Amino acid sequence: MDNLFKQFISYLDRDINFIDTIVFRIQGKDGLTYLHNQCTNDVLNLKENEFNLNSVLDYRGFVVSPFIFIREFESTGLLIVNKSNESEFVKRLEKYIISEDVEISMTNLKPVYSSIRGDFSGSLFNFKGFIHFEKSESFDETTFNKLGYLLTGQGLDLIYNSNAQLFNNTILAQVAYDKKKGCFLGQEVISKIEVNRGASLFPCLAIGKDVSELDPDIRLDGRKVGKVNFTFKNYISVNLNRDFRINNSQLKLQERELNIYTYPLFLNSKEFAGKIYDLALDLFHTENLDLACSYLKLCLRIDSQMEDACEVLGVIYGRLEKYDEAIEVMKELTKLNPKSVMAHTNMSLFYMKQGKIEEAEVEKSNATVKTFERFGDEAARKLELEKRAREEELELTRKVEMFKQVLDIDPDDTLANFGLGQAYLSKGLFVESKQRLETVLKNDSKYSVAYLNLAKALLALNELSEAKEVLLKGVAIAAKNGDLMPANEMQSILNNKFRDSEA
Amino acid sequence: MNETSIVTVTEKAAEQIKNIYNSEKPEPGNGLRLAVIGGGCSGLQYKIEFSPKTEKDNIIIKNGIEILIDPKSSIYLKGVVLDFKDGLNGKGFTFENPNASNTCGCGESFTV
Repeated sequence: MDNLFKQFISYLDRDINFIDTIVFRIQGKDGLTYLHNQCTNDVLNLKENEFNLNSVLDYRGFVVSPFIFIREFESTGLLIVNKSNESEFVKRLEKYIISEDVEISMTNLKPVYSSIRGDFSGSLFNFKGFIHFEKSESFDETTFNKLGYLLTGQGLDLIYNSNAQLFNNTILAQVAYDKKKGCFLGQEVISKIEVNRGASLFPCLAIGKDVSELDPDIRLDGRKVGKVNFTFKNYISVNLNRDFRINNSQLKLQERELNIYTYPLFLNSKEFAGKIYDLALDLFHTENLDLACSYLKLCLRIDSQMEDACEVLGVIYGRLEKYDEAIEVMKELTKLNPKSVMAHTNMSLFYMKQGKIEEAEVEKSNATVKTFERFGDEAARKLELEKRAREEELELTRKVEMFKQVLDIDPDDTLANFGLGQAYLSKGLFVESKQRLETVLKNDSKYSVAYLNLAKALLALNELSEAKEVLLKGVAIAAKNGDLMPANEMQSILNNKFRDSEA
Repeated sequence: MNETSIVTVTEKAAEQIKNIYNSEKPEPGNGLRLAVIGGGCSGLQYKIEFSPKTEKDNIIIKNGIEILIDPKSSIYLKGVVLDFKDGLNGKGFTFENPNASNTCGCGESFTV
């Protein structure tokens, strides 16, 4: 997956054209209010110069078209749509205008994406990006589009494998949906599906060898479990049935081993920047210092508050003997974190290298002051943690008593047994926890989270083969139930504890 | 990444770490953490302590003991040799940093 990230971020220093899109403008006294009531994501709460991903559905909850909404001014917006959806999109939008003052008109604007700067900001590819409408040296990048879909389920052609698809089965359900925004067409259907075990199919990323030869319909034991959207080198964009949508699991398909990853691969700008930061450190350790610096600067563009990226960038500049740049970066670090000891320590060292002894001594004193401040903060934090631990202990004791009272009345009560099992797990009473959780599963074998907690108790008791059995069973049941969080956590434990030992 | 390329631990240092581990018996899952902090007479200072492993730690296994280095400290510690000097004039654990242009008399603080 690192290769996928590296390829993707290598494009992020340039302006990239949206692909095959057209831009409409919506205006009129009622324009934005009307639009807000037609689409799946918020419109009215966006500030001027912000954008978001959005979509319009039909009454069955099927996608008519995704689009990007840009809040241009207080009462006008721009809508970026794929050309292939143009007529259906406009027809759908205009269908319910009765007496509202709404005007939708085509523009000749050509949208461009940038991760660095632009007139309009918002989230695309799960991190902050920009859109503008200039076309100076911008590029058509169909490869970048594919990489975007593989990494995030999103691309610059705004198709999202959504044409004539149920909304819940598309990535739009994750990135273009606001549950609190108020009524819109198709809302009831998608809510019902959400509540009843969620989407049956959903986009995933799969990685394997010789994937271009896979059948487009994915079948296991004669049953259709998914569909290939497209392949790119060793990567596949695939829509998979919920039973197989476990993050970091493996699927054997047509004699190929595929690794499955679920979206989002990273949640937000911080996570994405964190991933780039890890790659930057690897580059440092393989002596690629200049490229490491480029990656760290990209980190800071994506997450401007990332102190570690700032500090490491400064240290690497120091190693490259670029002391002026190093000092400037450390000054930025003091703005991000006024209590940073390392910022002042490093500045002191860099000034020394430049022969600026007086400045070095000043920064050394600052470092000493910050060190003492840190001691004070750490002592206060320790007291706070101790206080919190005491309060949690009291709360846990209260809960244990409460569950015991319930079990006096009904020894098989699932909730009380589960609660007590979880409490004993927190207290390190693993034998007692195991007993309670086994009781839960005896009475309700579909209680996914109970498998997870039981596995944790068994691992703590070093009953490894039993733990593995519980995890395997638990993952299958959780996936079937649509309980993806416990499923993913159990799969992660299986991968960490048992896959490494089998390797 | 080859973790041993960050820090080299001499046999003597590894032996001493094992002795301390066996006598102090830290919590299971804890390793010996090497880190760099600010301060000290020459600027940067080494820190060595037992501490729990975290997901992103670089791990060097020496004589069955896990030596942990967090990603940021690995930038400062790259190339360092951890040794142990005993005897009458011994200083205990020493960090020999080929990149250090200045080391204070106590050997605990350095610049790069």
